[in-house]
Amino acid sequence: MRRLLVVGTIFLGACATMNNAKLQDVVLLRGKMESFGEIRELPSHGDEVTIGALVKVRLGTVESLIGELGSSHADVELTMASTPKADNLKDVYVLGRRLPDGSLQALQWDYVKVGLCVRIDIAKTYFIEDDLMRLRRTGGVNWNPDCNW
Amino acid sequence: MAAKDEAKALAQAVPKALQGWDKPIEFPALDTAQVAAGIGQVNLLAGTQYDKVASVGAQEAFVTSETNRAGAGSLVTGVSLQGRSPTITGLSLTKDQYLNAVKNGLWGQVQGDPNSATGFSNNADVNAATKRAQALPSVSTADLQASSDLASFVKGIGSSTASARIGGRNQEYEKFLTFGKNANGEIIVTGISLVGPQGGNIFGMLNSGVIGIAHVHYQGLVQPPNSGDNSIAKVRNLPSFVIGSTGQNIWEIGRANGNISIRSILPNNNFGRWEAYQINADRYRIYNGGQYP
Repeated sequence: MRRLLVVGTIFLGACATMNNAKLQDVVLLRGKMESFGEIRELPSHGDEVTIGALVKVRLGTVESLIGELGSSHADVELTMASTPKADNLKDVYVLGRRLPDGSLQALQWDYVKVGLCVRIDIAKTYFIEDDLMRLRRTGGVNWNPDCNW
Repeated sequence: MAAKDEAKALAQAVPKALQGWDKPIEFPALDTAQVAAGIGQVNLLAGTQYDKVASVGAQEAFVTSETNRAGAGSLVTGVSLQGRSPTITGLSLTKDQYLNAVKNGLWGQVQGDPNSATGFSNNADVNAATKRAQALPSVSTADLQASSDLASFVKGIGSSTASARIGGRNQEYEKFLTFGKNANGEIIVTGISLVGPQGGNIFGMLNSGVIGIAHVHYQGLVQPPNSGDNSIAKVRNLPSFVIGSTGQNIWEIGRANGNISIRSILPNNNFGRWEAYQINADRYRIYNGGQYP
């Protein structure tokens, strides 16, 4: 029985470590769009008609709101319906995941002016509900008033 | 009551409330987003009037309509549900009817949804799928160009569509319209929708009666067609149009010499020259993005 308890404790500890590891990979950044690179088409599936493209965006003056990027700039590929004009580059929030190769994979993004609205299923998947609630409560992010959660 | 049952109740309640009108009333199928938004009190947007005609639940739904010639009633032209619905389908608005509806707040009836009802989740799955997938080839290589009456229709509604305010605080959504033909062969607007900055999927709007589509590049976006604006022509073989932020500049996306291409729509049924489509608008020679403020 005692052995079972020990094994169980180790197992739970391992699970917690795995969850923490996931959490540490996730970052919420605020940064300014500085330039656009390659633009790639989004695939359409069957009859679906997708609107948008994958745009490589260079972010500058990056601030880490959740997690730590460890850099003041980032290159990230965002799905965008249309490309903003070069004289209309704005501050954005990017929720992303750091991949083993060091690159940043976007999970969601929003314009700062419009406000952040992270989908609740994504918040749950990456265990960042509490962080988002804290940022929202303290005014650490401009939370989109239309975001329904 | 389940959402589908509520939708059914709405479809039954409204025609009953409108009995005696001299034109047939057709109700579009409510799409998933509309059903999810809830069902409820039904209102009429008839000319400048806005009348409650039925109540079937807790929230509000809207019926877009036009006053008939005798002024005795209204023809229902579409149904939407208040809340976060970014789409109205099932419309049947001729050019004058559409312009009148826009004047009376048609676009205020749709509101973008930051939770992405029509937008992409923009998540790892999208990225992973994109990395796996090859860009689809065009469904056809035959020339594709809009009829002059469709181009003229789009030109005629461009300015009012571009300047119309949508529901909600945030106006930075791209307005989408679908076009079809009515029984008299007239071009009509059959649906309107919004897509957010992250892009989206307008599959639900493209039924078999759609003959073309247009969307607006609001101020602050690169104006000529770019990014994924070629998808309608490519995947559905339908002519589509990009309306600039003031409605003065309008481009058609079609196919010329086997390639997806764009041309400008000029006054009096004139067109600019075709130029091969560019995903990056800085690469156009004739329609270079830099020349449009």
